[in-house]
Amino acid sequence: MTTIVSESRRLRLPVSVPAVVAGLFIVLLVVSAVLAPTIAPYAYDAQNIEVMNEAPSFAHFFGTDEFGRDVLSRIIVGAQTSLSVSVTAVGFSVLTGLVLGSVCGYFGGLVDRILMTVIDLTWSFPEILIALMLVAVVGAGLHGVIIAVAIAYLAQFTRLTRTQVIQLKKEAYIDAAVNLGASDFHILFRHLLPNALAPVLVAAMLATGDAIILEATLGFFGLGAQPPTPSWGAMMSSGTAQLFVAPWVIIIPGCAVALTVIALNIVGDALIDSLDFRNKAREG
Amino acid sequence: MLLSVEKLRIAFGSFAPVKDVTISVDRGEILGLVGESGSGKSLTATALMGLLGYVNGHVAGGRILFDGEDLTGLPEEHMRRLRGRRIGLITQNPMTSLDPMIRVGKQIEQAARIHMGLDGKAAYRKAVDLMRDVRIPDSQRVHTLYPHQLSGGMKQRIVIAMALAGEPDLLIADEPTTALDATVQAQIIRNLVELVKIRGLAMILITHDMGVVAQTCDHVAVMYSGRIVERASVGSMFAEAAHPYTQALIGCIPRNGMRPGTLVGIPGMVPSTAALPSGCSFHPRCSKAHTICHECVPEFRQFGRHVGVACHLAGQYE
Repeated sequence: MTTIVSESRRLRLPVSVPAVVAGLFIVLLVVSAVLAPTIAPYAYDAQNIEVMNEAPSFAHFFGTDEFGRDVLSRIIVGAQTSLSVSVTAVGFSVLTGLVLGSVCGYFGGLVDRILMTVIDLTWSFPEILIALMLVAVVGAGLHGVIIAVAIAYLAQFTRLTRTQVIQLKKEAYIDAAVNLGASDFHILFRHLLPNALAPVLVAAMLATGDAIILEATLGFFGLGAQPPTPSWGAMMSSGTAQLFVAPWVIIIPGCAVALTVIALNIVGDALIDSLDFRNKAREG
Repeated sequence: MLLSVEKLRIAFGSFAPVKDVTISVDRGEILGLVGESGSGKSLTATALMGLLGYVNGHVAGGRILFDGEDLTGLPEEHMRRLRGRRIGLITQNPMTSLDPMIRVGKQIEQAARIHMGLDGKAAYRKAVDLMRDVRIPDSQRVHTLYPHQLSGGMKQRIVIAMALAGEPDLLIADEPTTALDATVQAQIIRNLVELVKIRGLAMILITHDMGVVAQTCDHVAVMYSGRIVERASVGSMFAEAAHPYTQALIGCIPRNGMRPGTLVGIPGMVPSTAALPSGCSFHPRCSKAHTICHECVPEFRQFGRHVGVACHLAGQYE
C-alpha cells in the first residue's frame, strides 16, 4: 500500500530528473557568474604570449585563445555578461508587457487597437532584424543590446498578458469584485495580474534562453560587449579565425550557450507541467 | 420603503427583455422574486446594481428609488460607491466567485477595505467577525485557506461574508443556493434570514423555488417573461394564488404524503423574449386561456388581498 501511494505521488509530481539537473546547472551558472572574479582561475584579460592557442590541459582547463587568455576564466566572466544582459532585457520586456497587455486587455477600445497594431508590427520582422536595427539606432554596447532584446520580446509578453486578462475578465470572481464596488485599479492589480502572472513567467523563462542566443548573436557581430569585456558571442566571433588551429576557442563558448539555453528550456517545460498540475489540483 | 422599483424597463437596443417591473422592499423584510430561467429576474438584479452597462443594456424606462434617490441616472463613479457599500449582491455560483489566488480571509478583508477604510488589524478582526456571523466554524484557521480547500457551502458563506463586509442596507441574493447540496441549502437560507432579521437588512431573494419562498419571505413577486404577473404577501399568495402561473409554480412543490407521479410540472417552455406570443405571454402554456388572453396584454390590477395580478381571468374561473 505504501509503495503504491509513494509511486503515484512520484508520478504526479512534475519534477523530473532532467529538470533537476538542468535546474542545478542554472544555479551553478548563476553562482559562478556572481562570484566570477573570485573563482576564475586567471584574470579574464590576462594575456600570456607563451601559451597562445594552447589546447585544454590541467593548467588551462578549456585551453587558451590567440592572446593566451584562459578560456575557462573568460567563459565564467562571459556568463556574467550573457546572463545579466538577457535577464535584464527580458525583465524590462516582461514588466512593460505586463503593463501594456493588461491595460489593453482590460480597457480594450481605441487604446487597445492602436497599441496592439504598433506592437504587432514588431511581430512581422525576425527578432534579429529588429535587434540589429535598434542597436544601429541606440549604438553598440551592452545598453544597446539590452534595449534591443527587450523590445524584440515585448510583443510576446504584451500579447500573452492581454490574452490572459481578456480571458480572466470573464471569471465570476471579477464580476464579484465589480459587485463589491472595487475600482479598476484594484481589479487589475489585485485580481487580474496575479492570476495572469504564471504563464507570463514561464514564457519569460523560455524567452531568457532565446535572449541569450540573441545576445550572443549580437556579440558575434561585434555589436554587444566591447573588448576586452568577454561575452560568449564575442568569444565565438574571435574563435572563427582560429577554427582549425584552436577549435576549442569557438566550441567552448558555443557549448556554453547551447547548454544554458537547453537547461532554461527544460526548466521552463517543467514549470509548465507543474502549473498544469497546480491548475488541476485547484479544479479538483 | 428602502427600495421601490417603479415600472422598470430594461432594453438592449430596441429589444426589451424586462418590460414592467414594480417591486418594493423595506428594512427587515425579505421579498421573494420568483420565476423560471429567462424571466428577467437576474437582469432586474443587474439593473439594481447599476451594472447593465457591462452587458450593453440600459434602463429604458421607470425608476429605481433607493433610499429616496433615483439610481437610474446616477453616474458610474457614484454608483460604484453604492455597490457593496449600500447594496450587496450574492451570486449563484460560489465555486467561481472567489479569486483562486487569494486566501479567503484576505478576500473578505479586501471587501471590507474597499469601502470601510479599515487598517490591517481592524480588517482582520472584521473578517473573522463576519465569518463567525455566517457560521463558519474555526474562523481563524479558515481565514488562511485558499478557495479550493473549502466546500461549496463554505465558499458561499465566504461570498455572503464579503457581501456583508460593506455593511449594506439592501442585500440581493440571486439564487444563492442553486449550486449547493440540498442539505447545505437549508442552512444557508436560514443563516441569510437570521442575518436580515438581526441586522435589519432588506433582502431580495431571487429564486425559482416556491418552497424556499414559503419558508423565508414576507412578500412575493412572480415574474414571467419580463413582467411581474402577481404580487402579494406570502400568506395571501399561498392562500389564494390568482395567476395560473403562480398556481402552477406552487403545484411544483413536492409535499409530504404525495403519491409518486403526482408532482406536476408546467407544460411548454418560457417563450423566447425575442418572439413573445400575442396577448398574455403565458397563454400558450395556460390551461385556462380564453380568447381574450390571445388578444390583449392583461393589465396589472388589484385583486383580493393581493397587491395585484396581471391576468384577465383572475377570480373568474373555477
